[in-house]
Amino acid sequence: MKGIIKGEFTRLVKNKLTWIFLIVSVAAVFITTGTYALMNLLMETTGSADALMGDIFGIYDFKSLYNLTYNSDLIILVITVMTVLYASQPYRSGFIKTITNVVTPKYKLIIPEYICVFTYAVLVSFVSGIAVFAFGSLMFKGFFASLTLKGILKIVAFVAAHSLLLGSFACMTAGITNVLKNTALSLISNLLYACGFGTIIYQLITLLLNKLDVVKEDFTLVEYTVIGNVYGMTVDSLADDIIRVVIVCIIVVWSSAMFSSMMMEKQDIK
Amino acid sequence: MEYILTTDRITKRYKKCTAVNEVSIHIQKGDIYGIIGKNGAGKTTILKLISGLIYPTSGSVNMNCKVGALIESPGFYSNMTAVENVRLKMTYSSIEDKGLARELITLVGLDPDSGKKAGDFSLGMKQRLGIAMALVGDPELMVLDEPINGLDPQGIVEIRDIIHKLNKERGITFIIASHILEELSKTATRYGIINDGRLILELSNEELNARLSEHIIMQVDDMVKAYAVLTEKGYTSVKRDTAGHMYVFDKDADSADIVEILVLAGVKVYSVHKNKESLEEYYISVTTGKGGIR
Repeated sequence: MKGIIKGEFTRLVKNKLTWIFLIVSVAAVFITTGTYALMNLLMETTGSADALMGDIFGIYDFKSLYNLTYNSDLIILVITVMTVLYASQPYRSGFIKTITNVVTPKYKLIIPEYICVFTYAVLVSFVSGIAVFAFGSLMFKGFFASLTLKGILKIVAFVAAHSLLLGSFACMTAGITNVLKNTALSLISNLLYACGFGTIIYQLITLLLNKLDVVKEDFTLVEYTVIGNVYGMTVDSLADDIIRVVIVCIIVVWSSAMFSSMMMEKQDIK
Repeated sequence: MEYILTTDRITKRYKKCTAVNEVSIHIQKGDIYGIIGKNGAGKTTILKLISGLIYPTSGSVNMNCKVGALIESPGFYSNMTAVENVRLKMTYSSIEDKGLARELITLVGLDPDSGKKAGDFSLGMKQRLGIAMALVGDPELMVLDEPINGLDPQGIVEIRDIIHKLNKERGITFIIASHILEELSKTATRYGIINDGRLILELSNEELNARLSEHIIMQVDDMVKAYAVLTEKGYTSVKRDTAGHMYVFDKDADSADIVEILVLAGVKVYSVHKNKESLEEYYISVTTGKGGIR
């Protein structure tokens, strides 16, 4: 197992896309932060009382900036594309045929791959978090004024929880890619899921469950999914929410690993 | 007799077809086993079953040895050099390098110091890299699928030499699938003939040579008359093809006697020589019962 983990990290490091996507995520944070800063400046200079703009683009403190960055599909899109390309690389290149007879049973490839994509997602998340702080402090006046120790700790917990969510999402994406073994199909399905299709499905299921009266009125399935928490969790989320997130992530990663390991053993490698 | 690999009626069925149908092959340690078959006969499917890439629908593969495989196209990462690719496979196999990667790259005729990425390799270089990667882990059995496809004549000779060298010096057993029979006949020590997913025949080189019959080929002016004359004189295996040649397969037939008989009968003989049936002709006759020869 150690050799396989080392092998996975080697191919991650040697892949140019790894670094390109990391730079893309930082650039995306820069552009997004810049856009918000520009909007803020426009509002300040024009004295615009446009309520809608104020609601969407009104950045009052660093917490809002973190919420907007992490609750958008910015980072998750980067992770989705990178994970699909990474997980499908052994199949596209044919390298999987080379290692199948030295890695037996085949499902031994799953956990090292998960460790790798999880680590990468966490890295992207933390780098983005640092980028938000760096660009926010450069582009927003009074950014530091709103910074308190409690606030910083909340930010750290928020970024850590989001990193866990994004890492779990990456594992799930890698699992789906291993099962489908088709880059285009994996990309389309995972992107659709990440960009809101998944949330729609969960809302529909919640409606159905409510209609069948099998759940409480305030129950929302989305709160118990990775994608739902990526979009829903904020800096001000409570400790209970964070505990829920940890449990959801563990369950998702474990069940995804079980399912893709099972499929890996059953499926032929063509 | 020590078998390094046997298959017991392995079958692979897909929704629309049966690619491999109850194939039982027997490969001895030290063999260079040639799997012969036309395109779509099931050769690659058998190799995939042996190397564990796909699962049989029924039957089993019995072996207890380390396997190295090069199935269809070589699998490597195009953004890495040859040495890096070999080292990566060694990492997956938890094998320490200690110069082994460079040794394998040199063995197959590639330059270990080249910074060229594998994606920029020619087809021949890619095939060699595939063989080098299959050699990682000191396999006792190497499974090669059409290893000389796309190679120039020099490349073909070099791959053949590598196979012979590894077989003799390291005692590696080979299974080679090919539809280029002429080349396989220079390399293999045993053969398995596959047709439509079934194993038609398994035989050694010696057995094959005994079956490749010697015969006399002639060109005459009147094939009908020549046929009648030779048959009358007691020759029982006289054939004609559509290209104006006559063949006499009778054992111990003497070309001088035949020419004399034909000339005395008024048949003009333009050319005559002895010939041995090629592996190709034998394969066609075994799989189709035809040979273009009537």
